[in-house]
Amino acid sequence: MEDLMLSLFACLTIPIAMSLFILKGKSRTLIICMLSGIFMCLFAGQINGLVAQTSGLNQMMLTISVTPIVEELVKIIPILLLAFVIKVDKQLLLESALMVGLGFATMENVYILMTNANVISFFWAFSRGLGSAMLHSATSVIVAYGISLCTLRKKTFITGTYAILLSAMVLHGIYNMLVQNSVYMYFGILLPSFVFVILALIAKKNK
Amino acid sequence: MTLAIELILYLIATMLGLFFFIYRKSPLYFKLLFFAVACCLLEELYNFVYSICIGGAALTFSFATFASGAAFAFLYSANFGQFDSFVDDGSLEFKNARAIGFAAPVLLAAIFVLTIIKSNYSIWHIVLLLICKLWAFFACYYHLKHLILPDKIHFMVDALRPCNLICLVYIFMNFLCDFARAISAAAATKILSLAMPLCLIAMIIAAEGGLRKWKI
Repeated sequence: MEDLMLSLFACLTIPIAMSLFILKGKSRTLIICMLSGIFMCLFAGQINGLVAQTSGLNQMMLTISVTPIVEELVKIIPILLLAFVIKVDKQLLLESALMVGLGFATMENVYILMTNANVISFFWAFSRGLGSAMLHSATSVIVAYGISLCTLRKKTFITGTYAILLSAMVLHGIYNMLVQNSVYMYFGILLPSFVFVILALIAKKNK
Repeated sequence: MTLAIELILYLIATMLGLFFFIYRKSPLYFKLLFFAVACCLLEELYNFVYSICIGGAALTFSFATFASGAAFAFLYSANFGQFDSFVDDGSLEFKNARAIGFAAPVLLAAIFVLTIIKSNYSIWHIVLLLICKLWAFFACYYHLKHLILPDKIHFMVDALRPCNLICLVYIFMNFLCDFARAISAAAATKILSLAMPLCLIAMIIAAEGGLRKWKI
């Protein structure tokens, strides 16, 4: 299983990484963010595996209570680097966070596809791909948006980041519960789309 | 059924906050209050989805409590991060308000301790609960302080006294609801659970009405 994750990682990242030789400026930054998202998924997968082995929790409990914590904590790392070390502007921070989320979702989807190859259909794969991409990018953008607000007021940074991160974790937990239920799976896919609609309304208003 | 009604009320509070957030020029203070309301909606949504997708006996520690923790952190951020520096310049004139403000977290801590004693939470449950509820103590200090603070600087305090009162009431309701659940007082739990979203609707309206008078 470990070899599968690493092999998938190599197959995904090497072609994308090669594009960095010809990309410049913002495009290159965004592709690097996508690659970091893919790497973060690999990292989160290892931690999830370790927790699964040591905690003894069943798969359902793991995915609705532990996985959201691990994945959101791991995804925030590149966003914090961009915000406080590289200090990109707000627009680029949000776009980069989106790419981190999409990279994460890409690796996750490919892994799920490989481990469930016998039971999936195209419709399942399409729904899963869309839902996962929207969720991971939505939670990353929410966290990045919160961090961009927190940087305006240093006093609110710790509590603001803590609060935004917890919110993203709970949203992720809700999504995981819904998509694992055969009846409510499609509500799970709709959930992050609501978040994007709200973010789009806010962005449109701010223009 | 009660869970569905609570969810609808939280949704109303969030939609109302979202409307003001998007269509009125809201200062960061209001945005933080709106985020707190949205977190409360997330908590309720998690519990609702858990009941319909998984069902069965409730977890000893609900993951949704993290959303509650986030809400308290946003309330604290709003008052400490955005408001306190404008209305309290550190002078002796406000020392009474600063001192009396401690009454709220002390009372809240007493309710929290009673809840722990009356329940049969494990040590891990208590630790996680404390991590989630910690910011409530800080938030309620500032809510009480800003409720009683004399309005001498910028004249902002009077505009937000109703909002601070409602926030304080909400925090106490949240803790009392946990206490009622710990002592298995089903009726009290139900009443408080329904009152909390109504409180949030009132808070949004009070905040919007108060903040229209000034911008920070």
